[in-house]
Amino acid sequence: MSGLVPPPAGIRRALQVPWWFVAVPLGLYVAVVIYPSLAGALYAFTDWSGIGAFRWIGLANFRAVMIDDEATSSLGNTVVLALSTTLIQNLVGLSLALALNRRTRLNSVLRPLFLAPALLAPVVVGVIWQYVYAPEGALNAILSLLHLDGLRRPWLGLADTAIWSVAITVVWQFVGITMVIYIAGLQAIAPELHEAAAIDGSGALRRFRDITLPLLAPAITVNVLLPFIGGLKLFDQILVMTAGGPGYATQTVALMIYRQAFTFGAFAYSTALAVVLTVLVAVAAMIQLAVLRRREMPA
Amino acid sequence: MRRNLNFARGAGQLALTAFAVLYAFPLYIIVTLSLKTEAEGARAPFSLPSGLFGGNFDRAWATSATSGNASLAPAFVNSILITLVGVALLVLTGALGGYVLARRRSRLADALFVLFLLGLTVPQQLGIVPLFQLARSLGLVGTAGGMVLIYAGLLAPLTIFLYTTFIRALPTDYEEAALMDGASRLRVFWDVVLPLVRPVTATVVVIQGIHIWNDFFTPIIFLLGSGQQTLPVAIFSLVGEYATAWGPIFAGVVIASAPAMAVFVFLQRHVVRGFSGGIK
Repeated sequence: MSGLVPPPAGIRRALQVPWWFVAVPLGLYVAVVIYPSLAGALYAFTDWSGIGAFRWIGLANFRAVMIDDEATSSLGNTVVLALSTTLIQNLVGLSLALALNRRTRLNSVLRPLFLAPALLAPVVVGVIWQYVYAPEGALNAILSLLHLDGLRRPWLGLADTAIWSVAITVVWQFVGITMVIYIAGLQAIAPELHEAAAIDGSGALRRFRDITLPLLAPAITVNVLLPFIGGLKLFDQILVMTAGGPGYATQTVALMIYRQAFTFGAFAYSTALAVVLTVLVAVAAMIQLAVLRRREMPA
Repeated sequence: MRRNLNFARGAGQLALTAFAVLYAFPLYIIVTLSLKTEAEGARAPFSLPSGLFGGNFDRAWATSATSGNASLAPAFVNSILITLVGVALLVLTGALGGYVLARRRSRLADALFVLFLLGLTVPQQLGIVPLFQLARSLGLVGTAGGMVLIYAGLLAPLTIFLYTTFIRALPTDYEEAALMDGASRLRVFWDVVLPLVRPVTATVVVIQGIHIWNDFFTPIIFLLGSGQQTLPVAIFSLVGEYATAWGPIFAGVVIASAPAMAVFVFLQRHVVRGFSGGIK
């Protein structure tokens, strides 16, 4: 074929893929993501109200964020939710992956079952769990059936149970993705490694620590990064289930940005919050990539 | 020893099955409650429905004279329209764009690729207000067309990334042969490249299709109150309207989730590959 006789350089250049092929996606991407993000980042340093002129006010918006109780509790809740959902999702997801790794008939039914909620809209999942946690909802009804009426409570209405109720909802929806990624990672490990180690007398726990865990490093990277960044941006479920309440107990940064901008019209302040969120996401991504990449190397 | 092992395995399977039943319980609840009358739902929330009651689906689906907003029928049409056109636009522009970035070996191509990758981490919230103003000045707020254009830009990073990395690994022989035969680059793209990148197209269709179908943040900002709203926003309104009348709400949930579940059942392999693709 033509691959054997490369065409002369001049013709090659003439046959290059034309740049205009990328014009449409690039134009839309710049208009929808790049330009608005840069503009948003600039407005964070102004007193812009959405219309008319604005003044540069330096870090005043960020100083306001630091002394705003709502903003600081939103930031705290966001980090708590991101950390806790990432941790639980990885523990449960890895356990499920180990349990469902082998191809059995039961497992081929259970795997899609655990993945199914990941395809539902987060809003829909929020609605489902709103019912589970409602005062006259499923959870309290089950507790009554078990004669545990003392444990009944309005799960989403109390500050100390609301945030964990939301965290469980998030884990319930996305643990299947974590599981699937771990299963893919497990199946990339050559069984001979385990067999050889078993012959050398290594126990199951030891093999898990010395073989499985190090070789799962790429899967761990993805499974920590995705839920953590997703957790920092939680919005849909919160708005449906608690609207950030009670008080600010489940308010997240993403929800507060939305409210400040589209309910109160505090545009500049909302973009300052968005800058803080962006920095959180970027720092989390960089730290995790650096740490986990380093751990991947020796394996 | 052997018997102990079997016993342990049996106990493990039992625990796993129990966990699975618990896990599936919320799904069971919504489907069964959507098929019960309000009285039956209150009396026996956990049992199987005594019959197939369709009243909840009627209420959720049809526009009632008293409440204009919470009907799912128009939202269903909007969701289908925006998802289909959005995904088609993403596939076409993403494959074309990825083709250039994969085949051009230059600084500019590398820089553009990195520029697209940046969009994978920037939260949508950062640019949401300027984007809203831009869309309003162009008359695109509250329109399905505006949503499609927004998704084509918003989801370009992952789409471009998938197509570029895949095409880079493809040999150029077929394209060169077609070019020697006098085909234009556009024809080569259409006849040679597009069929070769079908695996990526499947991933893009499934992953981005589900993303658009389920997205809430974008339509609540750009479509709320426009009469053009998509299903997630309509469900949100439905909850606001029916409060704790779970029958019609869950009927709405079943309607909104059915297409994604159908995709899952028929394209399971693509869904799993799409979700676990991050480490391949």
